[in-house]
Amino acid sequence: MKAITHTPGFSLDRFILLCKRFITINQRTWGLGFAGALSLILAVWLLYTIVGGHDLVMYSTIAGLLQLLYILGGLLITSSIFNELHNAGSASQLFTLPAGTFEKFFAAWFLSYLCFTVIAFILIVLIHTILGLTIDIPEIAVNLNITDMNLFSQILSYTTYHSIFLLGAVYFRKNNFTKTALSIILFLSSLGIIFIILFYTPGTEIFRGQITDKTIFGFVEEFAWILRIVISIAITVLFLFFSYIRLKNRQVA
Amino acid sequence: MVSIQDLSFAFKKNDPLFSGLSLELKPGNTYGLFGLNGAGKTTLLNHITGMLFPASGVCNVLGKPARERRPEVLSELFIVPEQFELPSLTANNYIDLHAPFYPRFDVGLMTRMMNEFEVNSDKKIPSLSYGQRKKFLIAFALATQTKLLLMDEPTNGLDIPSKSQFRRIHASLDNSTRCTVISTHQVRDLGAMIDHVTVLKNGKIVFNRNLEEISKRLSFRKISKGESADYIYGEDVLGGTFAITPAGKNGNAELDLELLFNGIIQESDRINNEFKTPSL
Repeated sequence: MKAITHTPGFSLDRFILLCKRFITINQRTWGLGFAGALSLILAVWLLYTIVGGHDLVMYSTIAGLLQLLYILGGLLITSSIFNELHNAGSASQLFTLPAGTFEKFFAAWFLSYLCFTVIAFILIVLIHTILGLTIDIPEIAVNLNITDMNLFSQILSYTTYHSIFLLGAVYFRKNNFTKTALSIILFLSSLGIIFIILFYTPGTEIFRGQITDKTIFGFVEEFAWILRIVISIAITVLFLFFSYIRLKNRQVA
Repeated sequence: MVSIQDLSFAFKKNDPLFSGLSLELKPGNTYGLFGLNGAGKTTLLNHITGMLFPASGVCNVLGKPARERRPEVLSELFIVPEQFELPSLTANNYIDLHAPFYPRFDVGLMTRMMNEFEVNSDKKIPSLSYGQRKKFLIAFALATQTKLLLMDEPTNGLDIPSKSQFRRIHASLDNSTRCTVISTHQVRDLGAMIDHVTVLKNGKIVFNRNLEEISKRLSFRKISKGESADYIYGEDVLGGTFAITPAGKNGNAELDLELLFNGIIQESDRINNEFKTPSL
């Protein structure tokens, strides 16, 4: 057993030990989650095979399901990564573990975002390859290809939502996933209501006219992707920063 | 080792738990931290470990603010909480994952204590009884060999032989550079382990003296019925009063921690006054 020599600042040794600890403690739950997701995919495949559904329908169903499971599974893992902190009995285990707050935060991000995305991708490509070998994917399915740009869009969504759910994982003490999801819904609904109110407020006709103006709309559409990437990254960085600060200032329950 | 100055803290607004609490803990000592229920013993330990932050004042551990939770400070402190939940791992797995964080972790000592405490290291920790889990955590805490060891009611849940084993093991270790704080109600269980009595009352440390000093200044003796004697604090017992008196030639050097604690709670000013006058 090799002990660490503690130095101020970031330590790779501590980071690796933290990752090992997170994995070992959660391996059963995470393993069951992955097994459950794969069983669901297998069940859909078997159902279509037995019933004799159209290959394209089966392919698109599995592709959609994989993308949903990638985001949902990742967010569930993220929401529960700091569960230890929210229990008065177990909080001291993580709080007093000799590692920096940034190392603990970075290890949680590294596993629930980076490692999870890589593993999910490998599985998605693997399933795609197996599907390609077992069924005849028609030309039309190219647009549904689960390894194309559509997935990049999913990763971008996951990147943003992950950072929000990471904040929820540190912030809320119980039912972190549900509370974060509800907070997002509440925020988006409020934003929608404000927008509707503004849109129909007397005197905003000029603004309304600009929004529906084809030239301006076309301009926005041209840069829609870049805009989306920039906004997503900005939101992600902001929420990651909030999560870190929250973790740094977190006290025992 | 630990320096707390003017610490104030409240769980609820306008209901302070600590107000201007100051305390110095030095290496080579074992402090018995006593206080009534709700006095804030656990809260104080949580401040020292950086799990709670002071509203005002300073709480430094090894010269650094505890609230910063620096790894180099955390690697020199370990807490055995009263209520704890350990991850669902076998004892061996737990040791493999956590011991490398502590630079002086003694695997040999851990194995010896696990054998003495008869803790099954192959079983998952949550499947062990509360007493077994506590013994495992105490063994791990002692094996870390950290400079600061905090234990909150360590003997709660331990059977009588285990309490003796714990005292024996603790006494056998080299504690010359270690500072141990034991927060407890069980003064009879742990009285032999401590060399300092620290009492927390009304948000302040009202008493913090070493046993030698106490023995020089106070006596603990039974005053028979009819005997006229002045005492600082006394409790009626069969045939007289068991009392704390100023140390004198009639004094009994054997310290009664329970009586001392009750005396400090009831008559802290009078007891502290005994330490202000020059010694005999």
